[in-house]
Amino acid sequence: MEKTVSNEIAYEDDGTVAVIRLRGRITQAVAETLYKLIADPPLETRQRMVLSLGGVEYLASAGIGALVRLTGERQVKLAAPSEVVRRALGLAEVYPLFEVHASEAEAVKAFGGT
Amino acid sequence: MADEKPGDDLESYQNLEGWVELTARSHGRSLDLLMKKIEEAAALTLEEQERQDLLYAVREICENAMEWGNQGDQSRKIRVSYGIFEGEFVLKVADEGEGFDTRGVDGSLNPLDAMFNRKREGKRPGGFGITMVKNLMDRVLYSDKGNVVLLSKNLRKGTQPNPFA
Repeated sequence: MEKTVSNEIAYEDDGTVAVIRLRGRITQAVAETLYKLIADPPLETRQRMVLSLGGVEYLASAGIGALVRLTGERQVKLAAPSEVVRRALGLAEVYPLFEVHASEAEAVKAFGGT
Repeated sequence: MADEKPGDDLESYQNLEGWVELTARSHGRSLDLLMKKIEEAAALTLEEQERQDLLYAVREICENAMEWGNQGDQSRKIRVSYGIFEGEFVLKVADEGEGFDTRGVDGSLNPLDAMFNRKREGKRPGGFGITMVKNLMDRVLYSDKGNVVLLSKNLRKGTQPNPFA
């Protein structure tokens, strides 16, 4: 079942893979909320994460920092990044760091799930 | 002479030679007011994508100035000046801080190294704003001290009459 953290962040966790859905404007404040979410239970120990980014309308550099640091610490796959996200990651010159999938289902499947 | 003074959050001046200067306190409400002003100005002169690029870059630089330059001290202000000169939308952003080591903004430090440095220093995730701004704007210049930034964006339509003059 999806749990809502804020207007911009929600997640589902099946105990193996956490799917975190971001939408709207990912400002510095939202990035800090995201980072706190993954640093606290139950996600603090979750190593496999899908970040679903199809609804993101704005991605501040602080949000990119959170995505990059997360990728350095956990196994992270991006799902359905919006054009805004693709462009922002390109401008920050970090797009090649990410494994990108067309949908949440594909990203979860790539972890060996269904 | 101040031509607009919406409370204490944002002050606007229109001075000689078409420079507009805005002074904003270091908090989110002032930043939103400031960005609205710049958005109105950009709408007069820039096409949609250029305008979005400029607004993204200016917000990043202003957030840096407030958070790192002014250390989040809401009593400290940032000054943003802008105008059109020889076919370029030019902005200057200045904070009241002590500046910073600008060696990381000249391309000698890649964004990933900068990010890991931040982690070691206990700073929040980030470190990509300046790279993005440099890719969005045509020119980005820092003062030696690091507390003043000049940004410029070429106007695709070529030199236009300065609407702020």
